[in-house]
Amino acid sequence: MERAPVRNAASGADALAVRGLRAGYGRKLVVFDVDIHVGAGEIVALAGHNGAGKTTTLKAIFGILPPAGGSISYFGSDRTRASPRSNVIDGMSLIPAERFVFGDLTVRENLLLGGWHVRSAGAKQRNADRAARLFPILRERESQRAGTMSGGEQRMLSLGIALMSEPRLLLLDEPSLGLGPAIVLELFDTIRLLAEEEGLSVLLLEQNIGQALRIADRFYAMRNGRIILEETAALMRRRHDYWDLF
Amino acid sequence: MGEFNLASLLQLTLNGIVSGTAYALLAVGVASIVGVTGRFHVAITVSYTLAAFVAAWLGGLAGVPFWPALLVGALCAALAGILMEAFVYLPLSLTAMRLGANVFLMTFVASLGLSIVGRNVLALTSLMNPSLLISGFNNVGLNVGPATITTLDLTMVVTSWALIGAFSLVLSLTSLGRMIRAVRANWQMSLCVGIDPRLIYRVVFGAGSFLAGAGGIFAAAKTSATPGMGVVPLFYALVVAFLAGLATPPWLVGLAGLALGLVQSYSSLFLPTQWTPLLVFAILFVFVALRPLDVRALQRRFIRTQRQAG
Amino acid sequence: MELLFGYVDQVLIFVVFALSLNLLLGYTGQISVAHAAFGAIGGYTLAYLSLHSHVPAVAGVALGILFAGLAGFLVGVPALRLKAEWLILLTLSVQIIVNLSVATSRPLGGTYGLQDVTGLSFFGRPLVNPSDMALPFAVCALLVLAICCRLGESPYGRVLRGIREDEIACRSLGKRVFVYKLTAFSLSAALAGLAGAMLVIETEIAAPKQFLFDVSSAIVAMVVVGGSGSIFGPVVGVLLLSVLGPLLERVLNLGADAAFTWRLVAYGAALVAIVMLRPAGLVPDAMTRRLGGLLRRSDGTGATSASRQSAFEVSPLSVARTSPAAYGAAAPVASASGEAVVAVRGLSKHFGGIRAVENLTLELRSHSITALVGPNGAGKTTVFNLLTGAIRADGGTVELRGRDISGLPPDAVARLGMARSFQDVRIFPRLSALENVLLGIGNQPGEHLWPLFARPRLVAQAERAGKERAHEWLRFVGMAQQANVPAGALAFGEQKLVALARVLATEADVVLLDEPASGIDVHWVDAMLGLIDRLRTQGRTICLVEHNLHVVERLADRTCFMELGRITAQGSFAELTADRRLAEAYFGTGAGA
Repeated sequence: MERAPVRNAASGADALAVRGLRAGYGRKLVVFDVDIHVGAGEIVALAGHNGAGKTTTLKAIFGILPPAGGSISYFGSDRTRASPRSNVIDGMSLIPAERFVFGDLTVRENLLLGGWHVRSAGAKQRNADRAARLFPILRERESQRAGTMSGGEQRMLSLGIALMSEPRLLLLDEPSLGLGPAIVLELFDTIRLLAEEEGLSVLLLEQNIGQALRIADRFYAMRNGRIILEETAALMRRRHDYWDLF
Repeated sequence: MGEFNLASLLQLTLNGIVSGTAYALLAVGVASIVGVTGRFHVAITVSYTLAAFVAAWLGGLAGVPFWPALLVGALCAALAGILMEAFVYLPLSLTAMRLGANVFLMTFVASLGLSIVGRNVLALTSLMNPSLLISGFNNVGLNVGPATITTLDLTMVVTSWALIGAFSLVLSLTSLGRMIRAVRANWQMSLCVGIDPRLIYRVVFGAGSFLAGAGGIFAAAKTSATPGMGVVPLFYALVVAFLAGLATPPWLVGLAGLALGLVQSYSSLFLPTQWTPLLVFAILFVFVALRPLDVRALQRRFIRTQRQAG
Repeated sequence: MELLFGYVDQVLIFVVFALSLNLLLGYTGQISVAHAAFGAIGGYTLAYLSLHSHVPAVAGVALGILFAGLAGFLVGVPALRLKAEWLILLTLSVQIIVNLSVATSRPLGGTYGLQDVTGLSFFGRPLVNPSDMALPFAVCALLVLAICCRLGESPYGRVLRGIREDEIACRSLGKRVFVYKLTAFSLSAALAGLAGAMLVIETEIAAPKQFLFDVSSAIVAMVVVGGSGSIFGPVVGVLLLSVLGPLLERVLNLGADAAFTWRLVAYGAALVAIVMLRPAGLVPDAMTRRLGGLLRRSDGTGATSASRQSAFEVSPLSVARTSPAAYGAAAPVASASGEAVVAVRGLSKHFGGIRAVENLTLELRSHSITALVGPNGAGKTTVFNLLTGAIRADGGTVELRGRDISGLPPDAVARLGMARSFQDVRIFPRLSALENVLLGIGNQPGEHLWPLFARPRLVAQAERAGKERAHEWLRFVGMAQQANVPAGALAFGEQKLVALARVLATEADVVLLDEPASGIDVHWVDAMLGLIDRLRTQGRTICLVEHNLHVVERLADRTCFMELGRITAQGSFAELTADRRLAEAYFGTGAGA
């Protein structure tokens, strides 16, 4: 499918603008001077080999890992040292690559946890309805323990949890990991739909470049903690293979 | 050794329920704190004992009736727990993590230190009168068929189970309870949905210490409040909490405590009474020693490492 | 005067208690809250024997030590696999069981204990007054100090500290971790038995209240406050916590009751304060102290300035080239070029319903580098875990030089000549770089108890030779200048190089490298690749898992492509990347792109 041209190319209202980000764990700095921006309603893919620093970048953006340098702005406001809690309340949502549901809790409880900060009961209900419309299985299985669901169902639930928090920016860490091709297809279509219909902005970490390019507007590649390439998805799709990026 | 007849059996059952309920209440506090926060909080004895002392002072010095004294005492216990988490365990775990030291060991030793401080500060306050009585409860014996139970014990059993039940309901039905279980089930993911685990830790320390405090007040009302009153109950509570499992709902931990109380009570039929505690700890030793490897947890771990790297 | 000697005796007894626990807690990293109970076993043995027989006191003490050691062994067996909180619970139950047993046993005097344990003598000198005991107690304490020093500050102690830092890494280097843990548990309990016997001699009774849980936790506190893992730390802890009592009594002029209680308050508060302010204790061991200092000083953005500078001055490759002897001295048996060294047939592993590795067949040849590549979750690290015995295969065989090694534990596999590195390094942070590499060297007599005490000269010689070799390996990877730096203070890239030196020091001729270049800075990647390349020319058999495909392209002689637990293609890197289907599998471009 061909995508509309990139929106919001250089406006100040980027959903996310990361500049010169440096981050790491204690003495181990793994992300160096990373610049990333995500326009409102844009899906941006970030690819790279394992250990390239993608997840670390994501954690620093979300506030789990305090950045060692650089700045992060979110819809124009500075968020460089904001806590995950305040980020979630302002509509940023992160789905980790693994252990992305509360296994001991039921599906319903998982969804409620996603929207714990939404005050109005009506809004809660609307969010739950929307999640159920996108993933009917979440309503069918609402009293099942999340840990007993299949990998694909847990993935859908994780997206449901994120939707309950009324997100404006979704940070997805390898949503295709461990899933069969059919489920990946369905999941990614849903993400595309959310971006087009509701203007959701998405930063998508993927190794599955083919799937990512199918829905992304723009593409970054990372290697050894640095961004080595920024390109439109349309241009990327014309390539034969991507071996040189890994 | 007891004689086996219906009357003695009933009496043993009542005794078992009473002692088992006492274990249960403290065990629920211990299990929730250790299970959610991972801190081996032996200083929960401070909360247990402090509550009893506060209740005794309120009753003895100010003439406060039993139930308000119980409430205030248990609230003081909760506050003590929260303060220990906020001003000792949390900063300590952050320092230890930064220096690469063993966080679990350090918090355990700090907890030992806190329990020594707490016990002896309370001892200093009671140097003049070594045993403080909790007044205001009109304790009489009740006949249950051929057996007897005191009104205090009956009140303790009913109140304890009401508290355990209420805590279970809070955990399973309320938003706060969901957050507590979320932090216990998946700490990382709870961060991702915007829950602050530090706040949840404080809540859990408060709730667990409140339950412990209530238990301490009842124990002291039965005899008296002494600085060292928390040590032995803590041992039993640890046994119950670990036998039942740290991620088990409170009412189930409570039932495990009840079962232990009954086993101990019935065992006096065929064991000299001074040996029954030995039985309890022998069960614990065998359980821990033979604890089969948690195969499923291992598998999960390997799948995770494999996914990370493979 | 006798009062003073009484204090001295008490201090000496607790010095022995603390040193004994330090062996377990400080060196091996295993907690015990049952050391008072082990002391009780030693003490009651002495008391019972001296009341009921005419064996000399020395024999009674010796038997007490023996029984306590046996008890330690029995507790140590179930303790082997337990995590800290369960270990606390296990030893707590031992503590209470021992207490209740002696308190309910009529032959042992019940709650009153065995009284009037008098008339003991030490080599003809009667032990009546505290002053009589000071000398023999001091001899005992010094002896225990010497033993602990020998055990701790030796190759044996190095293994214990390795276990404390990272048990899995220790096993991967071929150490029999379970044996070490068990001997450490037994020795520690035996020495606690000695302390218990001394306590009985001093107080002339053996009673349950002398050996309560509180005593056990006091011993834990003394070790941690003083500094676990250092030789003199626990001694300082004992001195500090025991002088508090007399001091408060004198200075504050309180009634005996109040002084006792105040002392305990001060003691508990000191414990909390020290743990919070100095998590490593008052006298931390040298490495912990240096590590703490370096971590505090550094800005947290990478290497310390000194090491960063040296890293650029001394390129690993240039150093290796200027000392060609470095490798030759420690070369493994050279095998004919291209010989198949490892043969894997039909290897399978299922986790629940997930087929992590499915009927995998693989051959690793000497003088060559085989790379495993494939999408995330293909099972590459699981293959390493299966090859080295870290997890047990459901089916299939692994042969190393024609010998079936399926089902062997990781330490045995390492001793047979197949060693691995870890993606997350698993360095021993509170050991120096040199000690990290020393732990890789096999067959050191000093790592075993008998030669350690019986053949000190042999041990010293071997240790000198071992250090020389370890230095050579550090030179080989270009880390010679950082030999004495705690590994935890090195930059991540430097840690990876030290970890490589550690694997090479095992002299395993099959080396499995898990993501050797991941997470390290570009500068280190080049150094690392150069080293691995050199290993190939020197005849080792190398297999690596790597996500950085540039690394694979530069190094691999043969690349195996893994998907869903199987190897679906092999060949040169160029051949594989030319294959359209593999590209689709790797990038997911097959479906609907």
